[in-house]
Amino acid sequence: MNNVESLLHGFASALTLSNLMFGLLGTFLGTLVGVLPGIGPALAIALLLPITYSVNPASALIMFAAIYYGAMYGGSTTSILLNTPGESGSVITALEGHQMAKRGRAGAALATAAIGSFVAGTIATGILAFAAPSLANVAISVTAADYFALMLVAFMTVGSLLGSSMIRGMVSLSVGLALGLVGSDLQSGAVRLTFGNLHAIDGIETVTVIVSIFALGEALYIAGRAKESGWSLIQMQGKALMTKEDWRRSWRPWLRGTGIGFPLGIMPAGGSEVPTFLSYSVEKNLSKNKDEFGKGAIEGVAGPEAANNANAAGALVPLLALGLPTSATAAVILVAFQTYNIQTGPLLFATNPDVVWTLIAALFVGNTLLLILNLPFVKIWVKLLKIPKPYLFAGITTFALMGAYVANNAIFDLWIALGVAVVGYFFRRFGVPITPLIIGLILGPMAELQMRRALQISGGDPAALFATPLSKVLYSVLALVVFTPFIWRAIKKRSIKYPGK
Amino acid sequence: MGELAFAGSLLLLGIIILVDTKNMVVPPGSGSVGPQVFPTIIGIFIVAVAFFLSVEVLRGNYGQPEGTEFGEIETKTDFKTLGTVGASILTYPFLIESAGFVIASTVVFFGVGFAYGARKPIKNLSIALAFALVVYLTFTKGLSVELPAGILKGIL
Repeated sequence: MNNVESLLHGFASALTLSNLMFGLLGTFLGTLVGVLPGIGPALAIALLLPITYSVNPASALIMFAAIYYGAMYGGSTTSILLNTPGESGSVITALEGHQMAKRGRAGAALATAAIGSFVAGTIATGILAFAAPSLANVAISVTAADYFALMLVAFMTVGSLLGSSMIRGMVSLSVGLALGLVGSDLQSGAVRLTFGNLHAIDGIETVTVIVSIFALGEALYIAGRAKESGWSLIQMQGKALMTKEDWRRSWRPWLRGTGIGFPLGIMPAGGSEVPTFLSYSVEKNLSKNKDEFGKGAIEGVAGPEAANNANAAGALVPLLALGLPTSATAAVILVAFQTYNIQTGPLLFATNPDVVWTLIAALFVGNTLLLILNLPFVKIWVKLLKIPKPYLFAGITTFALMGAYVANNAIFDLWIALGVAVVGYFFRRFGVPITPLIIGLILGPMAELQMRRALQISGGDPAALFATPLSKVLYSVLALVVFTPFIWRAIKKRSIKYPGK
Repeated sequence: MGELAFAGSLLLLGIIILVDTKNMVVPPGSGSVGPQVFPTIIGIFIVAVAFFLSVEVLRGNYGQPEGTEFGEIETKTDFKTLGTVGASILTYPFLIESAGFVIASTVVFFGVGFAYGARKPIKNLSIALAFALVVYLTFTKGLSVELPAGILKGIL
């Protein structure tokens, strides 16, 4: 079967009535949770993971794809109306979109974000449908040593590109790697860092760590450190529509944003911060209305929003083809696959073609449902932004605790969650980014497996790790990555002045 | 000062990993690259990171507290609010299986809501209970995901 046929099969299973209903429910819930201030896509997906536990894998994937897009869309709504970027990829949207909203152009900002996300998501998923299988074909010949090198690159990029300083990214990464060690070693059965606790032998549940470090850590941090202050929610006038002029100014940024976001998503470039900033500075440089930037230029919303979505779809390429997550959101998706007993990686397309093509079709469907459903209903979502802060936090905290417990129905997981919440508090307190911890936790055990495979073949000779051509290339990239952040920060400092985040 | 303690606990983590790895019972036939190699590398990495973080702090490059979406960051910790939220969360592991999901969730919701400024107890309690019930019924009846009923078993 070729790709087109497989994709059509995927559509056939995604478009059954019951699966469409799951898609609608997912879109609704994803947007509902994503629109809540303080919840980014990664946390939204982790929080909503329990609802897919009892659903069959195909329907669960559809629902899941819908949640994914819904959460991203919800996040941009909050950024525009409330100036609260839930994650680094929405910082630009908040910057430029909120200014548009202040000038009474909230509707146009929301529309260009939604339509731009749709355009970018559709194009990017289309490329994904062809790129991922081809990459998987190539990846079958990738050796353990190459994988190990690839993971080191991912560690370095994620660790050094995020946050305020490289050393603090490494702090986060190292704690994640430590958490990943807990439990019995799959290859030898040796027990590590369990201190005699029987529950710990199974390792630390990833979902538990994700919900507690994001949600509980944030709840503690804001309780302890944030000053009481109201939000400036901007009332939306009229409908979420764009004028002819808006369309004329938006379509090029959408396409350019897609072009920037997708390739950077494939590379382990540490999530959506880099592509959205790049897209913003490109639009700023190309625009005839440079002085409008910073005061609400529609190009500055259209480009970065498209880049953000295309980047998210791009991140699925290494995830599906190599089993390698490169952002917090991708890491959560990997966890979701694991709960459905789906192993991502080069063999995925061979062993589980139905599931993966259904997922890809589901991404198209979810993306479309979102556009149809959400633009007309944006006023309902805006109402959610009026939930008083006490109840908002009470709800998030309660739901996160449930998510931590229900993954295994174990009280032990709750103790882990509380410990991780404290870690999350101190990470925020001392400016340590969260994402590297999650990447370390998930990729650490995989990196160990590949390293030992490579070394076992060579009888323990470390030279085996550098033996293949690809690994040599990757180690050169690694060296580059170590120095790129310095250059990147310089660019960022020059092109954007934060108006007090 | 606080950040040095933070770096110190990271150092402690690294040392714990190295000691645990050293004392690990290695099953026979683990091959040339056994279960100790990777943890040793990570332990050393963590110790190194802790060292460089301390250097950074001693040089005066303190970590900037993360900005939030919920107002400005204070320089002093509000221990009262923090303590109330912490204590509320802490009740959950004790209550979830004995008292059940609905009661445990109601307690956490009420406590966190109170800490964050919900000053009308009856309103807060009603919302907490309603939230817990809706979540419980949606998951157990609607999505067939098991949640502990606890002492309300038979009623719900």
